[in-house]
Amino acid sequence: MTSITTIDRREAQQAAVQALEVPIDAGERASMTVPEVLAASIRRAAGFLCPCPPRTLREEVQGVLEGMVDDDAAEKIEDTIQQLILVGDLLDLPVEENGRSNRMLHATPPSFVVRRDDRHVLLGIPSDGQSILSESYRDRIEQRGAVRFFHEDPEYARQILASRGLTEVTREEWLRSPNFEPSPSDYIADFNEELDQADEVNTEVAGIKILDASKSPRFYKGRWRKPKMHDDGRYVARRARRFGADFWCYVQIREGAVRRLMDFPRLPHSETPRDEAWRLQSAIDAHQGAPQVYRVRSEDERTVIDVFSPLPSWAERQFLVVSEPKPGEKGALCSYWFEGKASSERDLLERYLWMEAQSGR
Amino acid sequence: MGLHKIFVPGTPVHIRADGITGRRIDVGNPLSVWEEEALQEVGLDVKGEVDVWPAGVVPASFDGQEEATWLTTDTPMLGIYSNLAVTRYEVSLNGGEATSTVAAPEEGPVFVKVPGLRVGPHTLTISAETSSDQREEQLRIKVRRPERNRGENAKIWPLHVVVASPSTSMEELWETEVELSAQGPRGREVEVSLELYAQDGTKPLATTTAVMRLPITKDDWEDFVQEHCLRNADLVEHFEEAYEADVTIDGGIIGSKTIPFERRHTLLRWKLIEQEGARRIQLLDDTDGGPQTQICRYAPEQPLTSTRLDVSGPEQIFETDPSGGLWRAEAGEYTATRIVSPGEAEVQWGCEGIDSIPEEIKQVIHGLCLWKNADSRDNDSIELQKIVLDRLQEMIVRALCGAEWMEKEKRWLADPTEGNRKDLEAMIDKVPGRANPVKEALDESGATPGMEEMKDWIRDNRWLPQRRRIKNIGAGARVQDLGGLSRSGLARFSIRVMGDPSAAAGWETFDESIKQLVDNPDLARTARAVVLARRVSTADTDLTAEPVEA
Repeated sequence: MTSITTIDRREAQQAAVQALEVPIDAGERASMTVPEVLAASIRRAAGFLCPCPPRTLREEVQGVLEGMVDDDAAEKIEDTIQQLILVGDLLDLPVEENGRSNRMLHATPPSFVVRRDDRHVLLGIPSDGQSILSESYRDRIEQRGAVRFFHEDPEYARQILASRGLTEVTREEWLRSPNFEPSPSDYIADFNEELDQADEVNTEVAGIKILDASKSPRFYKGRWRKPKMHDDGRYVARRARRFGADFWCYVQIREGAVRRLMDFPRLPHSETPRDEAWRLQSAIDAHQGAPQVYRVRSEDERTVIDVFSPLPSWAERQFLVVSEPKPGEKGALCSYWFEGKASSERDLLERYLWMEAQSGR
Repeated sequence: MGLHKIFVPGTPVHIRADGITGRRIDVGNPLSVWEEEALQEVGLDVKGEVDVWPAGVVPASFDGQEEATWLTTDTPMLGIYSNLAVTRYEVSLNGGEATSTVAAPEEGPVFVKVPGLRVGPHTLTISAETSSDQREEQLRIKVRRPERNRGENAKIWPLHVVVASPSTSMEELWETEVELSAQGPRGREVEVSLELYAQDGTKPLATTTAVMRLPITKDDWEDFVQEHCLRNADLVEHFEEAYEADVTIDGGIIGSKTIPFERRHTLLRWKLIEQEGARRIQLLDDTDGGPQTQICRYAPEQPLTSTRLDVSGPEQIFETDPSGGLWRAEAGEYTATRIVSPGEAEVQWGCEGIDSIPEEIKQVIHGLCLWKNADSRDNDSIELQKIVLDRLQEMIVRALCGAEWMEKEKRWLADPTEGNRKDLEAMIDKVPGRANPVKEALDESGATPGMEEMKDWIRDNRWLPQRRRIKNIGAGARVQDLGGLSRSGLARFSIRVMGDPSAAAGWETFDESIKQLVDNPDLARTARAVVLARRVSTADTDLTAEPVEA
């Protein structure tokens, strides 16, 4: 029986949260801007709209929040989209159209990954607004930020998920960790070799900014600057693009001008140019004897890792599912709060990004 | 109007134009009733909007203005807002099917839910009443069922696997007749595998895997089947006992797609079992068991003679003879033929020559069809098949063209001198002083005789016993002297029989055409000369590409 029911703003939020299948604890007030709800809303939008640029998802989700939330939710939505990319619900992939390569967000097909601790993380987005699991299993899904865990006896969980059409993704495939490189100089050498083979640049490169390795790695933003006349060497850099985000690149600079240039990613199917750039910078810092640092401290019986430079997505992905990320504290760019000792995460920073640990309070 | 006589709201603003004055009036959003009345009092017409939009949950689509689509699993929820001084909204569905009236709040939008909408189009009308006016806004609502395509190629996912072939069976997959392609992030590696399963199997009988880069084209797929399936001994060995072949394109996190191919056509088939150096052949029979199965073997040295085998055992497994051969099973409408290679043994040809009489020629042609259409899986059995086919072909040529022709043909092929060629061709021009278009073409440097020359030669009809000239009455016309056959049909048939007799076996005019060839050795020799000439020229393929004439 069709009817038209008038509802107030609070009821509208409650109805939306319920429709998005986000469980709300008893007594808790439904809010459309909590990370779990935003993530569910973006997933639903992606189920209709992908492949699309991130802006399309942001605008669609922002549109349905009109009048329901007081603040401008754009920034929160963008952050959540990035979290969903990190977790693996969304894939940022190159798409070729009319001979040009653009990056578009795709939905990951419904799948799951089994972590080392036997916890099952749900990944992916069903098409056309459908649920990832039927109603009978919905109460076994725990949503924590952009991450969804499936709680079931590990002995049966895999079987249940597979029988519901979810494919298992291996840990390696999910984490997408790069190859282990024991030496930062070996890692840099590959990039240098490629840069040596790049054509000489004879024109001015628009909007070039370099990451100055001589400045302290403890203040990431402060390391970016325009090239100066005395600059001579190789730098991770960004250059302006007429449409879209600036390019990430590796440049050779002589007397303040770009002489050679190679854009990231080095491989055309690599997913994130900035991941390559950030890892290369980490290698450069270590090679020059001033490795990037991370700080380990204990707070409220939890382990906190403070990082001062952005982590590549493969590192952040591993952090995200086992920790609670918070805005950086005590001068850090970001702080990750762990229940355990975070030993495998520390190992990852040291082995793959050549970072050094500093203890702190 | 006389604006100076009434209260003018706002504060003056300076406008650089003679005779024009301006005032800035700040109003609320939405306009209050008081503000609207004040503006109207000073003669200002108030323009405003009524907005309606999907609220809370992203709909399946929304064009931003007039039309939104929801799924049957959704409850559409809408926000309504106007910057006018609205006192109340009246919301109506489909011209009054459901209505609701709501007092406008002092600020912010109102929200409505519209549950229970049927599949199809609907119209939601929002009437916004102000103290002096009424505005209407409409939203077209479409409701549809969700597309249940979790396992399919939803456009939102990056990996798209397409099987273009209209029907897909294991057999077609094996014959590289399935057109499969996969699209996705260019250059990305995916794991492609093929697994064979028994009828009740959960564990694959055999499997093959390869890493390929996207996109996978139809040609890439064919290469995969050729390289990784047909040359995979394990897969080849288990193919016949399998009932399903699963092809999986696994891109990890970008998606994975499995396409099952089921056995459909070959309900009766042979499986070769090789164990510890011994070879046996087993008949796999999936027919309903109605008609009695007949099984026979043809030895390579006697390829036209069948030996019936005993089928009384529960398992239809037979020891293979060291010399190999052709095994044929027949059950009602189903047949299965399989060639087994002789292994180390050499084929001792035991077939005697045949006489040039239609029945014997036809028997050899049918035998040649049997061997040609039989299943040959490995290089050795393909080699055996070729040997048998060549020898049967030779029997036909020898019977129709004569033993002397055969000897001269062999001499020319072994030693392709001009003299040997002329010696051979001399046998097709027995009437002095008459032109032979086929022979003339053979004599011309670089020219190769074909259908036209054959037709002209038949038109001259010089090989007929009556030696009468037939008028050129058109290529397709049937000629009484040719037993009702057309010139072009007989020309084409003759060339086929002398090149690949199996291609002519199904013709309606088969019996009559064979009779003409038997009665006129010159016709057979001329056709054989055309076949040989074209075989040594690059135009050879044109012959086999010609459409079969019924």
